[in-house]
Amino acid sequence: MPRPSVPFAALLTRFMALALGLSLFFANLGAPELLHLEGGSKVMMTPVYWVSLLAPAFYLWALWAASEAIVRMDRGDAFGPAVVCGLKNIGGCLMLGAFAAAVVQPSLIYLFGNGFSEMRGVRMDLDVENVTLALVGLVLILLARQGQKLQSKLDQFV
Amino acid sequence: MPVRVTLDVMLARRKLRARDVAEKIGLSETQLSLLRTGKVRGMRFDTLSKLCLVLECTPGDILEYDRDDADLNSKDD
Repeated sequence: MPRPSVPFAALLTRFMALALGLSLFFANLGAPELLHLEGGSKVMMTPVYWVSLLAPAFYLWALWAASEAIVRMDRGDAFGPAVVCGLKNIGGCLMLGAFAAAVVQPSLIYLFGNGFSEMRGVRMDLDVENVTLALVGLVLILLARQGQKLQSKLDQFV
Repeated sequence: MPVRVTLDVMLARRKLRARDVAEKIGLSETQLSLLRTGKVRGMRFDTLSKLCLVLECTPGDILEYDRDDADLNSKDD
């Protein structure tokens, strides 16, 4: 039986990314009470709605990058340049997503709330989830670097 | 490095070309050339065994060690 070109885990991850992305998009659209607005279409017109999608967009990007990394690992790349790049992408997206959720979103939503009339410092939302995701992203980037070093050492063995 | 690869000597003794040996053991010519000139960090056991098989020799015939007491203190980088 021939092996599928894209492994099941990668397909599942891509499906999850797409499903989560769509559900996030339409859940917010269909839950106007969440933003104290009436009518789903009006929700999309608010900048708060688009700002609230910032962090999830990075997380979904990380999920998509994970599926790419799984495909490359399945090809037996080990810690080759493509896998290292994929792992760094995942780590970077997780860190950006966490930063967006912890700093960018609260600050922008506050600014939109008061019509950019007042800004006292940076608003932060340091949840355990955000900090954990940021650190996991950092660890992934560091692991990718270590793996790259090990791979280059291994390549010096004939 | 105190361990030297003396593959050239065995190739000459067996009257074999590096290209043919490389092809038989599944290495590229570049890799074998790097091995011959000692520009590699190490050699895998399976590469060593293939070389021994093709050259009909033992590991001692293609590797030499120049004694150096400082080796005990050398650190892996």
